[in-house]
Amino acid sequence: MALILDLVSGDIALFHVFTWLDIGSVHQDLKELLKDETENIRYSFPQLLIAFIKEQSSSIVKLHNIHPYELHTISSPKRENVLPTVNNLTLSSPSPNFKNNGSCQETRKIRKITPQRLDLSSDSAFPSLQHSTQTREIPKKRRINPTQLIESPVATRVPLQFGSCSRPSPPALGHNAFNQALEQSCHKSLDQERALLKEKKHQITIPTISDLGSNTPKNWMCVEPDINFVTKQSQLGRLSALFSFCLSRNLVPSVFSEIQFLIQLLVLRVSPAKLKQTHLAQSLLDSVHNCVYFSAKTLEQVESIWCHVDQSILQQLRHNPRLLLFCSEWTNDKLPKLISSITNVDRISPHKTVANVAFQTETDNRFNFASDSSFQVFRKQRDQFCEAWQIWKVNSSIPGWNMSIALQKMIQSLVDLRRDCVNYAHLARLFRLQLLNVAQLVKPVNELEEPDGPLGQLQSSDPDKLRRLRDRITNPPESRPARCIGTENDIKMHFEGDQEFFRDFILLAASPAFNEHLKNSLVSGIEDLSSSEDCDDRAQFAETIIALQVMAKFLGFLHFYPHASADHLPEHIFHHLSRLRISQREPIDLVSYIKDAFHRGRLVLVIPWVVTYLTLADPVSLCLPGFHSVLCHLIFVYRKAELAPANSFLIRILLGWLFSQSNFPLPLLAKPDDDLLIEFGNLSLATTEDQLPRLDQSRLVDSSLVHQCCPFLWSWKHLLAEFACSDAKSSGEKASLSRKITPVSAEENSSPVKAPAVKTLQQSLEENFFHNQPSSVKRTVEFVAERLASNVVRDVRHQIIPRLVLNAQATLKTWPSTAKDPVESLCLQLCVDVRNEAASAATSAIASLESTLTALLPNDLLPPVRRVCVSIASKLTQGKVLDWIQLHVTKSLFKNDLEVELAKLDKSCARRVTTPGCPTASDKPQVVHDSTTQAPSFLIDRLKTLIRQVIRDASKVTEQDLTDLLSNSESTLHRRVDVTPIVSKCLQQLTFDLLFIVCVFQPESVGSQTITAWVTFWCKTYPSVDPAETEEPVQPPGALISTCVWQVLTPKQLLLLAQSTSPRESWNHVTTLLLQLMKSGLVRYKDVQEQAIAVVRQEWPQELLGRFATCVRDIVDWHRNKKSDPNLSTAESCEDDGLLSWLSWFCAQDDL
Amino acid sequence: MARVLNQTTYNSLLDSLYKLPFRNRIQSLQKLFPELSVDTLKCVVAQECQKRMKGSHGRLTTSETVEAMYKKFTNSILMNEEPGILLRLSDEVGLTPALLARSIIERHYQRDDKSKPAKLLVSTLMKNTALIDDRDLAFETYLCLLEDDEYGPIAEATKQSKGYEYEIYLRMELENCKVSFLHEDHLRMKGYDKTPDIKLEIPVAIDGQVINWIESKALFGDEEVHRGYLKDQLYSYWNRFGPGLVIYWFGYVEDLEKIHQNRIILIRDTLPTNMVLMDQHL
Repeated sequence: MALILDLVSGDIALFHVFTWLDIGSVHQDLKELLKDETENIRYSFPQLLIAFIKEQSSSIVKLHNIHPYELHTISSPKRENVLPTVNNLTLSSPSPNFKNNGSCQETRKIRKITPQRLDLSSDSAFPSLQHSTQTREIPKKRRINPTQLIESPVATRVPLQFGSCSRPSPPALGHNAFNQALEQSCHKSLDQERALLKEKKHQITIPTISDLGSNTPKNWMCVEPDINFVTKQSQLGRLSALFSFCLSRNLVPSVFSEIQFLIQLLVLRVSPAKLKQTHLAQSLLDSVHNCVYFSAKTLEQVESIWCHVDQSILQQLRHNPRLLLFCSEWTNDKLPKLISSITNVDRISPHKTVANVAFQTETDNRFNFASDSSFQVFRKQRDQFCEAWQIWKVNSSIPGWNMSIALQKMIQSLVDLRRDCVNYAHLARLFRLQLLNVAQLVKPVNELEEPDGPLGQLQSSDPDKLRRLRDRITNPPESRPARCIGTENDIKMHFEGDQEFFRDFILLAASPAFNEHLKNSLVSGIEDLSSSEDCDDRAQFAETIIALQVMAKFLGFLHFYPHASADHLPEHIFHHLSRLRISQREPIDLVSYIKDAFHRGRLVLVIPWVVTYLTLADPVSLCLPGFHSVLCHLIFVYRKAELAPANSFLIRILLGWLFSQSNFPLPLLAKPDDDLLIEFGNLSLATTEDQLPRLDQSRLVDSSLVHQCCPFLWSWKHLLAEFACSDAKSSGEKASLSRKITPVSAEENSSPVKAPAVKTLQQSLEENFFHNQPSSVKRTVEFVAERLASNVVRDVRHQIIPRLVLNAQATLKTWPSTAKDPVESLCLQLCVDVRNEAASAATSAIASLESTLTALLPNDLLPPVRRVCVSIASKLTQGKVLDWIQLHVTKSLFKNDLEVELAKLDKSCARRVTTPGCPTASDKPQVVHDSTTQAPSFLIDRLKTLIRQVIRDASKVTEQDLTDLLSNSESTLHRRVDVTPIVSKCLQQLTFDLLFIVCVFQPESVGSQTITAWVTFWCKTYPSVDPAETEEPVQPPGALISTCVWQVLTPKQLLLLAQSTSPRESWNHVTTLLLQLMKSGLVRYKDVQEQAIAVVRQEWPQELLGRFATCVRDIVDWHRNKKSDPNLSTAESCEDDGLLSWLSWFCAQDDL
Repeated sequence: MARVLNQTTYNSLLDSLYKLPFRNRIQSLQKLFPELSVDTLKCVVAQECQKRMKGSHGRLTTSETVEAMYKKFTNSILMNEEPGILLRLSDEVGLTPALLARSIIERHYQRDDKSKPAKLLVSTLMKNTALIDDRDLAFETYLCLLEDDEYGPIAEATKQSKGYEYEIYLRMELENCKVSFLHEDHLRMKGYDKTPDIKLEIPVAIDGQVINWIESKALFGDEEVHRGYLKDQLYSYWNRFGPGLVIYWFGYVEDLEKIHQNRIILIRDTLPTNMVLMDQHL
C-alpha cells in the first residue's frame, strides 16, 4: 500500500513504471522504491493497485450502499435524505473476487427485490436541473413494497459471504490489508443491517405504511460532484494513469470488474447529511468529487475498451451528466465519433421464429435405425419431444404453470420409450440440434422492443426495469412458475429464456442413459465445430461461436450438476470430496483444445466455450489437479496471446470474468510467466499439418457478438441507465437502440470416419501432394469424392437393391418347393448381384469426375496435377462405395424382404383365397391420366343410385343408359391413374349388380349384345386369375363356397328373380349372362354346380324352381357340347355332368 | 358456392342438422343454406353421422341389443313384411343401415359357441351380398348398403376414392404450376418416418408464407377433425419440415389456424393460384 502511495505522490516518471510492468526492466529511480522485490511485486502489482484504490474509496463508497428506507430509519428521521432510485448492486463490496460481480442474473435477482415505479411524466421524478447546486433536492414519489426490505440486505450480502468464505483453502491473501478491511467492513454493515431489519420489522407493525405509500412529494438530497472541489488532482491523475495502463494492458485479472467498479464510482451518490455524520478517514478518494474525477479520468483513458462495446452503452456514457462535467472533451467530441464509427451489424432477421430440426433422410430415415420398431418408436419420440417443447413455449410464461406437473410424465416416458442405444443417440442428437436452433435466437438483454409511449421511453432509459415490470405483470412474485423441482442451485442460474426448457428437460427426464448419450453428442458437436473451417464471414463465425458456447454450457451442466451444492462446504468435507475426485476425468480434454487453439491461432473460437464450460464448475472441481493445468493455460493465454483487437477484447473479457468467479483459485493469478510457461510446454510447437484457417487475426468479432457471448457486460449499461433514470436532466435524451439477431440453423458437420493410420509410401506421397497444393485442392477433391460416393450409394439403395429384391421375390414364387432354404441361397445370390451392380455404378459415376474437377479446381493447375486429383478422387469414391457395401450389403439386408414374401406365399397357399387380379395404378404406369373421364367416386355413386332406383322406385333404365355406363366405366377404369384396387373391385361388383338387376327387373332394356359387351369389358378389365389360385377354398362347413363376384344362381339372386314381372324374359337374360360368363372363363362349371346345390337346400316356389331347372339344363347342354368339341379339352371339361343333370330333372318335377 | 364457414354459420348449420330426421337431410339443408356448396353440406352431414355413430355404436351393438334386433328381423321375415325391414329397423334404433346389417350378419353367422364369426367372412359377405346363404338377409343387406352413404363397402370405396382422386388432382395441379415435389410413395421409399401427401422439394410461398409440404383432405375441416389431424399428422410434418399447407377440399370452419398458435400451417379449400415460386433465373 505504501508503495502505491509513494508512487502516486512521488515524482518518478510513470513511463518507467510502465516499462517495468511491461517487460520487467527496472529503472534506477524505481529500484530504490521497490527495494529488492522487483520480480515478486511485478505480478502482484496490479492487484495491489486495485486493492489500494478500493481501500482509498471504501469509506465513501460505504455511504452509498444504503437503501433509501434503511437510511431513513436508521440514521435520519427526516425523509428528505432518502435517495430515490440508485440501487446498489455491489458498491459496498468492490472486490474483484466478488461473486457474480454484476452478472445479469445476479443483478436482476437483486433488483427484483427493490422494484420502483417510475413515472416518466412526473415532474417530481424528473425535476429540472437548472437549480442544480452542490446539493440537489428532488421530490420523492415512489411505491415501496415493505416486504422487500427483509430480503434486500440478505440478497446483497450473500455474494459477499461467498466471495470471502466459500474459498476452501483461504488463498494467500492474508497479508492483503485491503481484504481484511473489506471483511471487517462487511461484517459491520451486515450487523448494521440486521439491526435495521429488526427495527424495520417493528415499524411494519406500526401503521406508517400509509405514509410510505402516499404520494406526498418528499425531497431528497445528494452531493453533486464539482470539479472545483477535487483535491490532490495531480496524485489522482497519476493514479488514474497507472490504473488505466494496467487496464489497457490486461494486467488486472478482470477488466470487466474494474470497469464496473469505475462506473460505480462515477455514479456515486451520497447524502450530505450522512456525510456530515460520518467521519471519513483522510485518503485520496475520500469525497464524491475525487471519486468521480478519478473515475472519469480513467474511463476516458481506456479508449481501447470502448470501441468494442455496444453503442447503447456509449450513448449512456456520452449523456452522463457527470462525465459531461468532468471530461467534456471526451463526451462531446471523441465519444460521438466513436459511436458513429461503430456499426451494429444486423445478423439476425427480425421476425424469425425458432425452426424445428428438419428431417434429413441421410441421418433420420429407416436406414439409420437397427430395426423397424426402433424407427417407429423414434418417430413417436420425435413428435413427443417437439410437443413438449411447444407446450413449454406456450405455457412457460403463464403464472402458476408448473413444468414438472405438466410435462414430467411425458418427458420421462418419451426419453425412455425404448431403452436402446440407437434411440438414445438419436434423441440426444435431436435435443442438441433443437438446442442449437434455439440458442441462435437468444436475444440480447435490451432487445425487446416497446412501442412509443411511457414504456417505450422506459425501454430506452432502463430496459431492465421494463423487463422487471413486465415480469411483475406476468409473474406476480407469489405465483412465479416453479419451473423445476430440486434445489435452487447456482448452476441453474446460467440458463436463461428458452434454454431453461432444455435444462429442465434433462432434470425431469432424470435418465442416466440419456445424459450419457447427450454428453457424447455434445462433445462430438464441440469437436466438429471447433475444427470447423466455415468461419469465413461474421455471421457464420458468430453462429459457430454461440453454438459452441451453448453446447459447452450444457456439457458443463451435465458434468458439474451432480457436484453442485446449495450449502457452503466445510473444509474437511471439501478436502474429502476433492480426494474422491482426484483422478476424475473430464468429458473433454480442455488443455489440448487450448494448446491446439493457441498454436493454430484459433483462440477466439475456443476460449469462449472453454470459459462457459468452466463457469459452471463447482468449487471442488477448480481445485482438482486436472484443472490446475487448464487454468494455468488460460492465465497464460490471458497474458500472452496476441489477437486482433476485437478478438482480444472478447477473450480477455471472458477470461477476466472467469477469474473473478468466486470459485477461482486466486493464487494462480499471481504466478510468474515462467511458471505458466512450464505448464504450457513447448511454445514453438510445430504447426505443419495445419489445414484450418487461422482466426485470431481476422476481423470476425463485432460488438454485438461480444455482448452475446458476454451478457454480463450489460450490467455496465444498467448501472449507467439506472443513474440516468433517477436523473432528471438525462431523461428522455437517450435514443433507444434496437439490435437484431439473425437466427440461422446450425448445421452439423459430419466428420468422416478416418481410416487407420497405417501409412504406405503411396499415402505419404498423396499427403505431400496435397500439402504442397493450395488447401482448396484437397478440400475439393475430398468433397467431390464424398458427394459422388454418396450418390452412388443412394442409387444402390433406392434403385438397384429394390429392383433386384423384386426380381428375387418373383423368383421365389417359381422356386421349387423341394429346395432347401430358398431364402438363404437367394440372399447370397443377391449380395453378389448387388455388389457387382454397385461396382459398375461406381465406375460409371467416376467417368464424370474429370469434368467436375476441372470446373472446380483452380484454373492454373498443371494438367498432370489435375489428372492426379481425378485419380485420387476416383480412388476415394470407390473406396467409400466399397466401404458402404461391405458394411451394409449383407445377407441380412435381404432376408427380411424375402421372408416376408415367402410368408405371404405360404399364407396364400394355406388360405387359398381367390383374389381376382385388380388393375392398379402401379400395374399400368403407362396410363396417361385423362381428367375428362368420370371420377371413380362419381361412377360408384351413379351406379349405386341407379340400382337403388331400379329396385325401389322401378325407375326406367334404357339400353342407351347401359351403353353409356359401359363406356364410362371403361374409360374410368382404363384411362385414369386415381383408381385404387378397392375402388376397382367395388366397380366390378356394382356393374355386375346393375346388369343383373336390369336383366331381372327390366328385361326389355337389355339385348343380348349388351350382355356380351359387358362380359367382354369384364373379361378385359378383370381377367380371371390362373386356376392354381382359384382352387377350392378349404373352409369350415357352412361357410362360403366361392368368393367370386359373378354369382348368378345364389339365393339372393333367385329372390330377385322371383320378383320379376316378366319372369320368362328375365330368366332368358340371366341364362345368357351366365353362359357368356362361362364362355369367357369368368365362371367355371364347378361354380355353377356349387351354386345350384346351395339353391336346392332352401325351399322355393315351384314356378321358380321350374325356370331354374330350365336354366340349369341349358348350362348342362352347353357344357356337353363343349366337352364333345375336341378343340376344347381343358381340365374342366372332364367334369361330370351327372349332378347338374339330375338337379335339373329334380327341380322340374311338379310335385316336389 | 361457399365452402369456408364462419363459426356462426357452422353452428347454425349443426343446429338445423340435429333437428332434422336422419334420411334426406341434405335436401332439407340445401333449402336452408342455399349459399353453401352441396359437397360441403354432404360432408358436414356425413361427419355428423360418423360422430354420432362413434358415440353410440358400442351402446347399440351389445350382444343383447343385437339379439333383440335379430329376433325382430326374423319375426318380420316370418310375418312376410314388405322388403326394407332392416331399413325401417335402422331408423328405429338409430344405427345406420349398413352398420345394422353388419350386426345382423354377424349374429346370423355366429359360431356354435355364440362368438362372432371371422371378420374376413363378414366383410366378404358385405362386399358381395349374393354370397349370403339366407336370401332375405342377403336382399335386405343389399338394400341397406344402397341406402348408406357413410358405412359399408360401397361408401368406404367412395370415400377412399375421393381422397385419392383429390390427391392425384393436387399432384396434377402442382405439375401444371411447375412446382417440384415428392409425393407419399416417393417419401415412403426413401424411408421417411412421416409422409405428407406432398413434400415440396423447392418451397413455395402462399400469401406471403413459405410452405414446405401440402396435405390433401377430401372432407370438411371442423375443429374436431382438424385437431385429430394436427395430432396425428400435421404437427408431425411441421416438426420435421416446417410450415406447410392443408387443403380441405370440401371447406372448413374459419379461424382454425388459431389453434396452431405459433406453428404455421395454412388452411385452404383449394390449391391457391397465387403461389410464388423461387426465382430460378441466373
